Amino acid sequence: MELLKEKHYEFIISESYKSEDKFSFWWSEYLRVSGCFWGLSALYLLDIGKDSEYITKEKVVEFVKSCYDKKAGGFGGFQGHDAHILYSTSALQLLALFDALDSIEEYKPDILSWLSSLQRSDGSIRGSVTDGDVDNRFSMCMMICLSILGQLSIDKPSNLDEKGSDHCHDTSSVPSKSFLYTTSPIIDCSKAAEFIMSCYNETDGGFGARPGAESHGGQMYCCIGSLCALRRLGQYFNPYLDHSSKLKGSSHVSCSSCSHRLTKTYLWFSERQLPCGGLNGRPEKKEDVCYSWWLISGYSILRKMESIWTLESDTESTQEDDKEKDDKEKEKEEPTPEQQQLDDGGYIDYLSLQRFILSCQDIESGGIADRPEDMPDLILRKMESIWTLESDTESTQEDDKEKDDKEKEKEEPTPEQQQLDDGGYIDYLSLQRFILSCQDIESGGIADRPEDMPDLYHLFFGVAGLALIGDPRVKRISPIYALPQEIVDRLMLVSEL
Amino acid sequence: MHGIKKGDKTFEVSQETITKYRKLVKLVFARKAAKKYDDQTLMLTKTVLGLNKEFYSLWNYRKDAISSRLRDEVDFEKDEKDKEEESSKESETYSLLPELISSELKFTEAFIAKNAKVYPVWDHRMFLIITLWNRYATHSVKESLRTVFRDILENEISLCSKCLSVDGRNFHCWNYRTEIRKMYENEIYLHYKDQITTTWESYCSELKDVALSDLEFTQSMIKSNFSNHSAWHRRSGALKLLFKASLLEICGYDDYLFIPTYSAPLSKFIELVSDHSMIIKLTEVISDRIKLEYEFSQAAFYVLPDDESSWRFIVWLLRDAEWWNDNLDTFRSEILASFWTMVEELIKLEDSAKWPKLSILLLSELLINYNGEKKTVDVFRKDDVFLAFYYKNTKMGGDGGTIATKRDVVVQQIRERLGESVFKGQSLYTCSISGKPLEEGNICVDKLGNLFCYDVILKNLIDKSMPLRFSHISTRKNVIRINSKVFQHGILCELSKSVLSKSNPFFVYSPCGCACAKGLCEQIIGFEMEISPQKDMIVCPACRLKYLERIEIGS
Repeated sequence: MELLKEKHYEFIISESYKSEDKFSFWWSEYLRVSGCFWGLSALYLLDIGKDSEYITKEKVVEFVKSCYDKKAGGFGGFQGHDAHILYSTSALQLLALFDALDSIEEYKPDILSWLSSLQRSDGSIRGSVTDGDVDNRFSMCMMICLSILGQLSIDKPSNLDEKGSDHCHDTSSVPSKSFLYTTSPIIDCSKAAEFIMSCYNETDGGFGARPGAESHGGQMYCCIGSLCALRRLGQYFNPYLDHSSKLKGSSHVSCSSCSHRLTKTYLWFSERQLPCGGLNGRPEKKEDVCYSWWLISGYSILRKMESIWTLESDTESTQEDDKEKDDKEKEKEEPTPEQQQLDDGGYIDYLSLQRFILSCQDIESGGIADRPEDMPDLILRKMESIWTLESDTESTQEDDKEKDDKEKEKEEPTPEQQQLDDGGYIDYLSLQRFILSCQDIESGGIADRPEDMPDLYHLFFGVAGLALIGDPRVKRISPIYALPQEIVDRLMLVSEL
Repeated sequence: MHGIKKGDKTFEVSQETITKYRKLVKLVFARKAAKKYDDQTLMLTKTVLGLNKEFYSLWNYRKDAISSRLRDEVDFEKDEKDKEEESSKESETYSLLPELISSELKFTEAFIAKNAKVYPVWDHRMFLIITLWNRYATHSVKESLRTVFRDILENEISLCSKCLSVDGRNFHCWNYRTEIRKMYENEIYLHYKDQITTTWESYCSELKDVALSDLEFTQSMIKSNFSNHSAWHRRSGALKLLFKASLLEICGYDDYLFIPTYSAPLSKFIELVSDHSMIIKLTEVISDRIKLEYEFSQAAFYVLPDDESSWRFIVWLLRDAEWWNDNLDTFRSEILASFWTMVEELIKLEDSAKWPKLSILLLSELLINYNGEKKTVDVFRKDDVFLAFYYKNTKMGGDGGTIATKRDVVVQQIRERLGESVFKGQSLYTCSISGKPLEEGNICVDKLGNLFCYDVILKNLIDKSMPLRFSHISTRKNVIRINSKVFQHGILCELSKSVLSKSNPFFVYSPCGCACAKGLCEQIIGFEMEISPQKDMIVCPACRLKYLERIEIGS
């Protein structure tokens, strides 16, 4: 099915500028900043409306600054509204999107001290000072805010703090990378991670909003994303860590072992897809487009991390100097966008894929030149990504343009479906079809389910879902920061990936 | 918008209302900036919030107003107290639940009755309860206030019950209820804190009551809807509390044990128990309860044999729950055996249900430990692809394994619709296209290391029906036929006769078609390089023919 880019553009503009006579416009004032982010970010991902007269950097910056709550030190949903971490996150994401973070340099100290006041002694994060609600959604928001403001850094291995770990590993067998935790001068990162893990439900492998709360799809993004930004996901989910701690001969399955957790969490994810292709947030619930983001983001983080852990454990066997390891890690971190495409192998092993491509190169006129229209685009696209990885530094705008053109050409002979990443436990193909079927053909926009009313929230999360599963018509998105990957790379935001 | 059908006009109001709303918002913000906390403030925000429940800034304003007015009240009381220093009847005049808060509770209750899925409303109510808690906890004379406070909490629980009877899956309400339950625990802790050595038993029994009443509540919720995952989840929490309280009761007073109960995992406590008679008692309590739970969930299995929630609960109960220890081994083995029989019976009745089989798989490690391996396999039909896949992955030594469940079913449906064959991942024993087991003389491999039946490849090439995934195979020459022998569908190494597996990857040489264990090949090549270091020594180690390509399979 077609992705109605033009229609979505019209929808976003009409939502933002033309609906003042509708109550919903005023009713939704309290989340205007978020609405603005959803709309503009969707446009960015769809790569449309760049030259629109409606959207200019100046207007956006002016609007975002007008939402700043001077008394508290954070952003509200609209001019005059109270500061809240949800809207501060959207505000900062908007500024990052428009490369305008320097415009709030003067507020930065106040924002940081406000953010710092939101962490409670148990590591949890409140939404605002007045409203004492605790929820892991706010932990994720905190990570995004701190990272965009440059307050997260990667710790040196020497400063490791083992207290945070709830199971004691034999330290000698642990790959050094997992000790490169994220630290921040603003909050206690270890405690934040501990709190998130206290919300992990042994019963089903999901995460709840608070300790003891039922697992929920939205929390999968928030918790896995936060842990990844904190670089502590491996500590709890890396299956290669618990070889040493395995009880020999015991009949009791250690329910706190990493591999056990990982499997259980995958089982939670795999059960969320319904026959229609869409995902639900909890068992026995209906499908909803927004879970294409909430679930697939967390899911793809885990899958990417798993492949990184596998690579690590492979390289671990060869003895290396610590210094070399550090260098290697640095190298590994740089080519994230390409790696992202690479790592997402699923049932297709990308190493063997690489081998295949290399064998193609030897034959030269073999596979590709013979019958190019028969070649699967999935493989071609991955080949490109590997080639770009190899000539990583040379990638210029021209290349991108060429790539775009190439992809456009390919779209015609074969449907876009074949370009999707392989989903593993979740079938991306039917998910893609589901998201597209939720589009409103007349007015544009995406609804939670087919035939429902579209809104900006579902439009953004639908488009973001398409971006996550690798739809070529949409730009890539970071599963952690909910920002386009290009921007995350430009800002060099910290994460375990 | 969530669940709003297209064309639904409930969200549209008249232009007048819009104008009125905008005026009101302006007015309220002006008062908010001026920090006016009078009755009119409460009235005005009430009107605006009635039109827009999500307006968090106004909820904040109300919170500020309430806090400020309560502070004034305290200051006033203090002044009064200073005046009449004699007054020691503080507790009698002190109202734990001031009018201000009780009316606010009613106010939010009305909102919840209308729409129980609004974050700020529940937050606001939580704020009120926390305010009450602080008033209670910091007050010097708690004894007489205890019943009042317990009534307040009890009222919250019954509000939740009402709310959950309308929508049994409302997570806002469940989460709020969980917080209220934690407050119960806090209250009990606070109450007994000072004379704990003498009142240990009542402390434990009150904790137990909290757990038992939750078990009762979730039981009634589950009975009315067996697939209520929220209720099953809460039940697991209540069980943890019950066992912890039982453990405290059995062990008797101990400083170390006396900490708010939800903060430490039960397993840590169990480790501390060393006395034999205590262990026996504890084992008894736990096994009795688990028996009850098992029987209860059995009812669910028969009513809804393929419902995720109850099966997840039983898998957690029998496999993951934190209280299992060596003393419970006998009991565990019995209950697992009974479970097995039950599931086998169920599978006979409901062959198409997935979860019974999946639960056996998830428990397979335990079942094998207690009941031997052979039986597990009998449970599955041959066409249960996803189960077989999972089973193979966990048994093949893959750490943690791969679970392919609903996904495969979904994929299968779609592929069938698209006329493609089922996609099963890279298999070492079956054809990647047709899924047929590999047979000697009929095996080929592509350059990626995917294994196929050769006749299937030929058929697909002739029919031009090659799945898109394998469309890099466009002629017969794109695949290499494997000549090696096969044992039970697994390819045998030409040199060592070992079977191909994930832990024993092979090299296939082209054009000769020999397959040899990778490790062995590398050893041989290394050895030969040592004795005759010729650079173009590229022969197949099995048949000694020059090879052009070498493909790795099983890695």
